[in-house]
Amino acid sequence: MAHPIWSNIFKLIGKKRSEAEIALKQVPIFEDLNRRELKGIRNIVHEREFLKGEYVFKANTPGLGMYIILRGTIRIEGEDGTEFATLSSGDFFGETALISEDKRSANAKALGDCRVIAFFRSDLLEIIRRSPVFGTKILFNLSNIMAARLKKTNKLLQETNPNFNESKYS
Amino acid sequence: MNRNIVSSFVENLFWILPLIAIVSLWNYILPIFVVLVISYILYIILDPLVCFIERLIGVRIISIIIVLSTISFPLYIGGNYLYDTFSSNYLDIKNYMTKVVHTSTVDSDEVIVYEDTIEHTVNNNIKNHKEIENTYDNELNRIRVLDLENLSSDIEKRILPLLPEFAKESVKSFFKEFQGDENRKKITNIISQYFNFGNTIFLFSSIGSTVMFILITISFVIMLLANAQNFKKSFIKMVPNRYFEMSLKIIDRISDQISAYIRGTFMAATIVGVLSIIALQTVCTVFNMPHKYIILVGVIAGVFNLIPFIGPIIGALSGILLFILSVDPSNSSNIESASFIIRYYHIIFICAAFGAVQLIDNLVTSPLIISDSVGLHPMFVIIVVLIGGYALNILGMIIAVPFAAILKVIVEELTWGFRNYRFS
Repeated sequence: MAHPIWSNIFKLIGKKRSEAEIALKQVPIFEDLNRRELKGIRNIVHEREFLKGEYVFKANTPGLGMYIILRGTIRIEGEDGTEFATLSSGDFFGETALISEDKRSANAKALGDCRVIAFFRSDLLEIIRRSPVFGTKILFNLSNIMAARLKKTNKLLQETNPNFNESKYS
Repeated sequence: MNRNIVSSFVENLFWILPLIAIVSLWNYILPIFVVLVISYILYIILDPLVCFIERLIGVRIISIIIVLSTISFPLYIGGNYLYDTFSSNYLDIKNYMTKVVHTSTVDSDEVIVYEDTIEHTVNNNIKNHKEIENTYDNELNRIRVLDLENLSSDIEKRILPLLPEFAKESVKSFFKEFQGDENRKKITNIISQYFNFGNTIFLFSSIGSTVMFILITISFVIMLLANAQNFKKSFIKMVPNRYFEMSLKIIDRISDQISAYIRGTFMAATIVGVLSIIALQTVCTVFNMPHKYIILVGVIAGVFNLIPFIGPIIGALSGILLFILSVDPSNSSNIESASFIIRYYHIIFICAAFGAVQLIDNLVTSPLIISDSVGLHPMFVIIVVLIGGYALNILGMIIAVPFAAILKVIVEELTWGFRNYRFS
């Protein structure tokens, strides 16, 4: 049987990554961060719990930033209640608000009790101000995601409407 | 229904409880509050510097140490210089303004008023100064009082040569009125009302010694610089989900505006101080005028520039008065000043220098530095400055406008928040 002193020391050395850190690592925006940067993000983000039926945010309110789901499911719906998507643990939403100050385009409602991580534009700006290299990494990943989404949207549009001319809209 | 009220009450405890604690313990909190405000202002001013160093070396805590140790040396030198000029001038001015009399010749009312006035303006450090003699000497029953006869005749001597012939008679009769006992009492009363720094110094001395005060402030500044984000985060953690995004957004907007305002005001005050020193030095060199207190005048002009409308006048007046003081007509040992006679156009030169500084400040630097977002109506500014003056004298006048600006920003942002967010 291990002596308590030893077990305590090993607890300190091999400190397990927290649930939030593992979840952050799965999000494409944070995927290529090193351990120290990830820890920095972990210290900045807010962790919150929403009960069933509570709104994470509502449409037409000023957008603040993105959320990453740790546990539970969240429904993204229009103002009239039409469902856009249902997201579960590991998914993220609201990332456009990291860049633009536009109002939210949809409601986000908790379908069950859930736990989310919130990462906001003010935090991102603070990172950029203090360590531009680190901030650029995040911004680059963010624009990668946006570019991928745009490609996907264009493709969908072209499939549904053969007359769609991409250059006209870009 | 009843349950709903209880739950919403419990939800809001996070701000109700601290508010009750602050209001009920206000007298004990006030000195600490002053320290907090000062360290917050220092944090706002130093943060851009720390971030700049952090961008170069990448470690926050080391950049804090570098910045603090770099600024501490010039601060120490500057503080020492100011302390020296203040304490030596204080002794000069005190000896000049007061005389020793026997207690039986003055009535006790005046003594008490006088003790309140002058003694509380001396801070503890000056009291320890070796050169200072005991103001109150029990054995000999001697006490210092305002020496109005000497003072008025001296001011008369200095000012009269400046005036044109027709004004001389009326000024002479004006100074004659100072000689009586009644007037002396009246003037001591006026001084005790308007220059009572007693409560200001009390704020600092009630924390403990000055050293303790400085140590606490420095440690607060370091903590704020190291992780100010955490304070915000732990407060936000207690906010209910409904208000989460709104309160975060409002806190961000308020702190952005307040820090922009504080940085702007600090920059403007520094620029006015430096410009005043340059302008005064130029005028004095060009027209060959002796002025012993140029740097002191610059500091006074910079600090008082925080008071709108009245501040610049105080700055210019201090420049003129200290100029008159540095030319001593009775002191013939100083060859440079002995041969110098003040003429009215010397005063006009000094006024012109301060006018030029104000022009540059109002037309160039202030519009560039201070954002318009906290713009207050001029009439409102005057009212606020007057109220501050009644409440806390000169300190009140200095902090009144920043305080009002901060309140305005908070109210505006709260209104903005409640207009833009909907609650379910």
